[in-house]
Amino acid sequence: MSDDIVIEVNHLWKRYGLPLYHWLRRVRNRAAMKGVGDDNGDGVIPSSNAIWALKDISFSVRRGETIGVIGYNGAGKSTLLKVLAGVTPPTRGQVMVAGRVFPMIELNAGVHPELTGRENVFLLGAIMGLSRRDMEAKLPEIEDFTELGEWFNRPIRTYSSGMLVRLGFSVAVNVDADILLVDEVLAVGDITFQRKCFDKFERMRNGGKTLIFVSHSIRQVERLCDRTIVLDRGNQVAFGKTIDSVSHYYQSANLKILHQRFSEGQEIRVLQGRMEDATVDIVDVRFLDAAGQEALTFRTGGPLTIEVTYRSKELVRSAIVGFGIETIDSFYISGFTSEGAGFEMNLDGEGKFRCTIPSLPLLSGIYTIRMRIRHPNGSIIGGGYGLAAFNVQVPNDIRLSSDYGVILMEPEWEAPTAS
Amino acid sequence: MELSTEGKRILSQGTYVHPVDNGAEVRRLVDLIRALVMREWKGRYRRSILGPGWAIIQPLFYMVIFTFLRGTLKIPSDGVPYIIFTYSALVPWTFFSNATTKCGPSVLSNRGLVKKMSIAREVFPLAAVFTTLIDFFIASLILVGMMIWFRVPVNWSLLWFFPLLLLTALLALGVGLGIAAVGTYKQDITFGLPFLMQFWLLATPIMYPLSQVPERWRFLYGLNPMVGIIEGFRNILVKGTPPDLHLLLITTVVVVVVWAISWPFFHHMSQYFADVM
Repeated sequence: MSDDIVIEVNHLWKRYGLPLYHWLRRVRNRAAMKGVGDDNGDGVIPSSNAIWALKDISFSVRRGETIGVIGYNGAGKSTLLKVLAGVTPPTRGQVMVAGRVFPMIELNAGVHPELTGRENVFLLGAIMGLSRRDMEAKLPEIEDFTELGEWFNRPIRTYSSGMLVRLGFSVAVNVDADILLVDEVLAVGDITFQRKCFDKFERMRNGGKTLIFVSHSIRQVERLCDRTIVLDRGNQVAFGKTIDSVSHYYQSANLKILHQRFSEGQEIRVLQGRMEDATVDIVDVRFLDAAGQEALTFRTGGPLTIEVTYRSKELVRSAIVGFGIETIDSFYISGFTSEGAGFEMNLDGEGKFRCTIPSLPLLSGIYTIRMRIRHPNGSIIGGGYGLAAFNVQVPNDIRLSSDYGVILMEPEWEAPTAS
Repeated sequence: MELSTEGKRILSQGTYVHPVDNGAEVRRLVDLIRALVMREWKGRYRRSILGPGWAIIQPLFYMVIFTFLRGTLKIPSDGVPYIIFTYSALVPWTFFSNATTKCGPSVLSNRGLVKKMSIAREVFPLAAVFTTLIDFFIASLILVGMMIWFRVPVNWSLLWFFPLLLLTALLALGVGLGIAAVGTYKQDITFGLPFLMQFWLLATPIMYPLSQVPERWRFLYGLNPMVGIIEGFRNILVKGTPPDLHLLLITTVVVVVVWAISWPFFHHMSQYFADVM
């Protein structure tokens, strides 16, 4: 392990539970003549059995890097952190960790409900290996960071979950660990505290600390992480620059979303949030590319056509159709309506209409469509949310800064001039 | 590391390497145990009225029961007042019994830490024993009062107090490690332990003197490691004589054997504690 590498993971396999139990199972299976190929006994790699929480994970992390870990629920993200923290042993393979580790795992579990926030802080400090004197020196800073005020001296059983996270987080970032393992802690805590945590993370990163960051918020990962690991049911499906890993994840998520959409069979397309029993029923929403072919992936700056198939119970004259575009985590980006389109939107019987965005200003990611059809008298007569999803990729000729976002801006630069 | 996907065999066991500075690690453990003991102590009595008074109530309660029983059963007490005869044995016994019993759930009740931190899991039973030690010292205050009241002869044999206490703590921790190792997985042993302790109490010369045990059972009886300890405490605290070294030797051997089994066992099992929580 070179000086610069602080974490090295080589062919890590992890299965929970006592080895004895698995061994007994293998013996029993063998006795029952169930064959050897598909068992999960020691020394044998199972073909596809889901009993392994992690399968053959390998990566290394340099000092000062921030690594993201993303994946669906149950992908093994937390297990990976626990193995790195040394809380649970690897079943196979090697894990090497250099430096002081502070795992921010289950921070909201607290430590002892009857003790006050202050006493819990001392306990956490002791666990981290800080002497009482060190702890007393750091206490004002920690107390300040928690922003708990008088709550700091109350038993933590009276705390809200956000307060518990504040407490744990404040200790974690103030104890000078070399490696921080962050497990989904920013999900709790209010917006000002999240902001503060991010600032602290950035400062720690600049200070040469190593961060492993598990999150479901791709936006947070994109913002913070240099490189990102994508896990899927224990497999390491991608590890590389955050941009690449995230787009890999988006792609698989896209497939998954589409898969869910088609799960009821091709004939009846399930439009997730479709308004029930509406005057104007949405039969289908499709995306078309420049050639008019159905597509799922579009390029930033290129055209996107939305085609809606509807079935109206009655003739609706001068209907107003509104579209909204949202990110996969339901962040509303923008919307537009057919008002002032220059023609009458008359809906009757079954039909189709299209709307084209000539130059898509969105960056990489999955976006979903919401829609609302209004009667000229103002009542809503159709629509829905999460109707369909499309994927956007940034073409290589668009130069972006390393921090990704949502919206494309096309700046014009001026050369420096001497004054 | 040899890995061939074709043969589907992985040869090496999993390893986790995390070099730490040993001196700092020891200091960390000491600080941690102190913090755990403080926390346990403060947390335990924070929501009670009698608080640390409970440390005294338990041995006193047994003392009262035994005194009543003695009235009907005519139990001799080696010529010393029965109250101090039995209380001097009940205080170390209560320490041993509570320390051992508290080891059982000590890991489970710290699951918040176990799941979060990589620390030697031994600290939890150890902290349980230390916490009970505080109770022991509180209960000893009454004992000191009795010793003054009954004018117990005080001499150099009292110096045996701390070696005896150490031996008791080691025995409690040794047994406790084994119980914690199993009890963390299956709690039956934690539930069953109080019964076992009742039985053990009766198999130890606490309410009756060792001299009452029939001669032919004496050797088997002496294999109970608590016999040497309890007799030792009673000798130095009540009779002013040094402990029976022969009995203490048996106790020491038993302690060594218990540790030789329970510690490696605990250590092995403790790796997987976090997996079952």
